[in-house]
Amino acid sequence: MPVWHELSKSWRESHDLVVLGIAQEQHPERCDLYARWQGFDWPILWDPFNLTEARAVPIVYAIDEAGMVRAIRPNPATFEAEFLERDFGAGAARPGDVAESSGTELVECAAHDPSSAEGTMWQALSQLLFADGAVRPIDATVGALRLFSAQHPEDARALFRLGVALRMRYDSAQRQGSDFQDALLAWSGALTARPNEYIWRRRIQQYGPALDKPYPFYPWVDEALAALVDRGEAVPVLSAALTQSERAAPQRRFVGAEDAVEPDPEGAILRDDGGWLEVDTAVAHHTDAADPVARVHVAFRPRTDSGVHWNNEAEPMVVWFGDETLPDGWALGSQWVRVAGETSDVVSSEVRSAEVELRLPPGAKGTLSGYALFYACEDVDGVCTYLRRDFTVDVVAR
Amino acid sequence: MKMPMKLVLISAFLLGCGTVALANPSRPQPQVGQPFGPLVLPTVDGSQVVDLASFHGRKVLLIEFASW
Repeated sequence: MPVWHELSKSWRESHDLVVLGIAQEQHPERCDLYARWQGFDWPILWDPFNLTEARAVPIVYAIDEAGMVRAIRPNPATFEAEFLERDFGAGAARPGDVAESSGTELVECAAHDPSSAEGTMWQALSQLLFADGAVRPIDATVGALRLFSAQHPEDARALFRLGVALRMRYDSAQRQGSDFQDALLAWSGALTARPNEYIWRRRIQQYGPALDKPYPFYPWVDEALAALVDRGEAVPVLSAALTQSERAAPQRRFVGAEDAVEPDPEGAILRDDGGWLEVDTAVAHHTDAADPVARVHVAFRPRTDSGVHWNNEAEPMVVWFGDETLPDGWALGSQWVRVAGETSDVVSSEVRSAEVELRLPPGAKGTLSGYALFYACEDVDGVCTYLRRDFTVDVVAR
Repeated sequence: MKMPMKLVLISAFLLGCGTVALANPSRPQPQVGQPFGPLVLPTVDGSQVVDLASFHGRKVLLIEFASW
């Protein structure tokens, strides 16, 4: 995109060219950050549900004055002569004219019976996309997509969009514990039905194992944030913390865990029975069914409604994944993970995630057990303690 | 004289199902010589809703991408 951005600077003036972007991403603020960092000064639209049905990115369209596509993936070297300076006979078009589709079934929401599952789904999607961010009707959207998908299981697009909505809810205050796992299952189901949907595949790989990554997804975020701060510019608030998977580099072979010493083999540390941390888990499988590797996500959230905060003056949280009960043929990439906070504050309450790679036979399902050892305080000035939180991960089949 | 970029600002309170054109499940891929088709989406910073039709009369460079 930087190439087209640089080239189009003068064209926007000399030829009255409009430049628009469409971001095929789950999280809009990350693209907003990227655009500010790169200095993009043209509107970038957000299409998390893949409504444009783009099957690849990047892809560039040259559209004339009448809304007709004149080139797909135009050559930057000849763009000015072959598009900007060319008369397509579209001069009669006036600002505000609406392009008419040709062979394309385009619908308005109102065209559907609002009491039908399809009408309800489109209404919910519209209201979710165009509502103010603070009042997104996410529960209604998830419900509408679930209902439509149940009635139309053959509609893989609806299943993908259900996954998008579930992940949105997971990143919101309305989060339900299984939302992330349910999103991954919906995306996997959609991709199984339509394996050539590149955007859908990338949405899973974003959270998936290193063996399935074509490249790191968001390694530039810290650099971009620092650059904006240095420039004294506004920094978008990232509503969802980046997972380690989203920063991870690709790997080409599975590396098993080295021998490690279990930190609490006797179970001597006092337990958190749920009053201190909320825990949710998800398993993202490799998008190729023949490659039986998955990435396990375990997220820990202090119960802020009870005043719980991380104690950042103490050592980082250690998360141990047990392998003694793993089914035959399963192997962990690591048995323990150290999870530190990313703030200099004495206390904080952000989500902290532990991730580990898991090799397992194709189609296998089972349970992975582990525990976290962590320091937390009841309140900013309250009791601080060191606790162990046990968890299990239901490894669902792909 | 250059016209200002026309962005369609739509209040969330005014949005009902019938105000927003979305693609149905059979939307085909854009083809050269064919209209791109209706496109109404919010911007990534949440500040605006943009309608591609509002740019008719001007040439548009449309870039679908991702920051990853």
